[in-house]
Amino acid sequence: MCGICGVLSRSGPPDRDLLVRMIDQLSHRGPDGSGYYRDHTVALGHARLAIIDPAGGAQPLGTQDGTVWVAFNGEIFNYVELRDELRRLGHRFRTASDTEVIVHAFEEWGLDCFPRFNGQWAVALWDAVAESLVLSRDRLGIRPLYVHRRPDGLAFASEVKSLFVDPRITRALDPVGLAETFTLWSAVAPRTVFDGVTQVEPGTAVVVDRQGETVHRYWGASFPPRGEEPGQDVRENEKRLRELVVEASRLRFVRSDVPVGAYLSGGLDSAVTASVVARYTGAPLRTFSLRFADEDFDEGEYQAQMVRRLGAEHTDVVVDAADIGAIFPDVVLHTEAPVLRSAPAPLYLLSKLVRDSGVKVVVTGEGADEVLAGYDVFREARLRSFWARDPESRVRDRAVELLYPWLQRSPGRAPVFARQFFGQDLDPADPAQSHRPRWHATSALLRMLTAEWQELTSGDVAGALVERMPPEHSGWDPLSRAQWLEMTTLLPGYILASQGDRMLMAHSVEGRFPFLDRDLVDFANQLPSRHKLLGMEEKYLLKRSFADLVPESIRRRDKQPYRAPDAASFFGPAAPEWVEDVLSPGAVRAAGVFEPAVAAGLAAKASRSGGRRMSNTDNMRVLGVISTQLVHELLINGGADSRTRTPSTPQTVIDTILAPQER
Amino acid sequence: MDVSRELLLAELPLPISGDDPELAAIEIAIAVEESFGIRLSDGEMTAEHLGTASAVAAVVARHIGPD
Repeated sequence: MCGICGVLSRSGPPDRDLLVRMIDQLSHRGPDGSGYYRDHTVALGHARLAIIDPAGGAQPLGTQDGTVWVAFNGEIFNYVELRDELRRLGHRFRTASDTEVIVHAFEEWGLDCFPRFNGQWAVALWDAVAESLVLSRDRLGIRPLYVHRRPDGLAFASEVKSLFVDPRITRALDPVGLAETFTLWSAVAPRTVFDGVTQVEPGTAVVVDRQGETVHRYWGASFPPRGEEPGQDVRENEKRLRELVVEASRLRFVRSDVPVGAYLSGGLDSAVTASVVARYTGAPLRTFSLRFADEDFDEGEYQAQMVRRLGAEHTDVVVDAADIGAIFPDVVLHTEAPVLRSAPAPLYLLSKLVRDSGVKVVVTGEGADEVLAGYDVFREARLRSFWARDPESRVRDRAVELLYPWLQRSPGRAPVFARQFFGQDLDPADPAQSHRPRWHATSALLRMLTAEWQELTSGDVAGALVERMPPEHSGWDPLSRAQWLEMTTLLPGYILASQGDRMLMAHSVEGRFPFLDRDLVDFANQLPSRHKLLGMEEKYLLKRSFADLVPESIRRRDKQPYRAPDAASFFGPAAPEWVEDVLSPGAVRAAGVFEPAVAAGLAAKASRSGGRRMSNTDNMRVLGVISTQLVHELLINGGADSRTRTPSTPQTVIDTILAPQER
Repeated sequence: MDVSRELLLAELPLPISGDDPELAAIEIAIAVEESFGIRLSDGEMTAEHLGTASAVAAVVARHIGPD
């Protein structure tokens, strides 16, 4: 895993010093070395985390004749098979790295190389002969890639802070990106929360040449028409899913030249991936877990079960609300976006634990909830559809107890709760029926904005997202439509970004996600919905496939969404001092986003309760305000700029502008 | 839907179990309605009608005809 950056300039050679400063902003992503390529039009920068071929994989790397150059962040897990194929086609390799496979694959197949890659990548390829720059991201957006366009070209980078090194860039929040965040939970690619900064869409390659800019989509989440799914036999699907999970996990464990560990959350998904990869090592598997001092959030009991079962060499970190409050500004500096949960913060501490333990690659269970239907949003949608088929029914109200078992202990509250739960967003013709309640609840944050920002953010971002759904969605199963929405919004925009790449890379740790394997995702998207969500049982097929490897106590436990203390991390006895500063009327007015009186009222309410026993919406409000204020302070105002160190000297330099003695 | 009814019925967690057979029957009803594209009446959403594979098969047959 690494960081990449670069510049395309049609008005003179890219500025070397600027490029070196851009690379330096990415040093946490790649502390093992850095380098750059520069000619009269393009510069490619690279900060390296050495994982495959540590001795030979330095970047940027080019073809032998120097016509094609690459800066690459990520892994191509099928690079061994692709290298064999390319050798048979006459290509000769100088290194054992997957990076070199990308260069040759691009030479051989052009843009058609991307569908052949099974991996996680953000890549910049420069064809010096065609004067063509290609920027591409993996299918689901595991690796980030941001772009700032200017009249004479563009700049790109793995993180926005690298782009912001250029003083010519005006730093401001993008109203639509903010509206998306305060409705859909994240900006939707290609948009970001920063004005003038876009991101390469997952599943695409952007080509920039003398003719202009073209976006090529090589992959998009696609589902068969309902009832026409090719595989209907659950036993066959169970067997095939197991084969695919095993192979995806194996590739992500063995294709590394440094030790690989595994996360154990206490849930099903990481139990599956850890159990599979443990079979490919003779030594005890290194496992890592997050625990919470507050038992409402803690899953230590289930983690311990898996550790015993695997005989793992285990380490964990126990996090409390004060820990989250203390590190939250650093967390937001890495998320580079407002977040509506504190949940990224504990993951920041977990990746630190991993790195401090001497491990720099981990396999995790990320993606299973989206690909195999584990989230409550899918179950809630199914329940509402069930109820809406006969709203007059005297029996159907009770179905809500399947989702919220505590209602069985409060029978008096059940009818009221059911009426609230089932009382909205029931139109079966609405392709976003599954997500409307979440979006409505989240958009309460928009009412906290100043009048000016309310006006700027008043567009229908949910409607615009629905407009982007593929036209064939009308034939899909409702679960497939919900999965498309989840794979387009929350997965790339929050789960893989703010909770994933950013928290891992903050401490130079690479995450690998077997459930987001190319072949596994394509298979899962073809499954009948009942094999993913049978009635109300989530991840039905996955549970069947790994019944022998994962204990029943974990397979059968109620799903516990990953949550951390939210408002309680910023108020109460251990409240960090910085909270008062970022929520002060002066700071809120200076940022100009939130109505100061509304922000002050929210802070007062949170203070009275110590941030405890607040509603879900109020917790989101607190997180939304605090994280947006921090984004403004650290990234817009440049409060984090002073942390910039003296640029280090790149070790790998291919500079056609500088005289040899200057390099 | 060109899927064997027998195949679909075999996937359901039947016979129902647990200490709340009414709720268990509702859970089966959700799966049956999704899988077969039918709407069950309140009277059909009981352990008696949805508690075993043969009972569910009979309910389904009433809605979409014999297999």
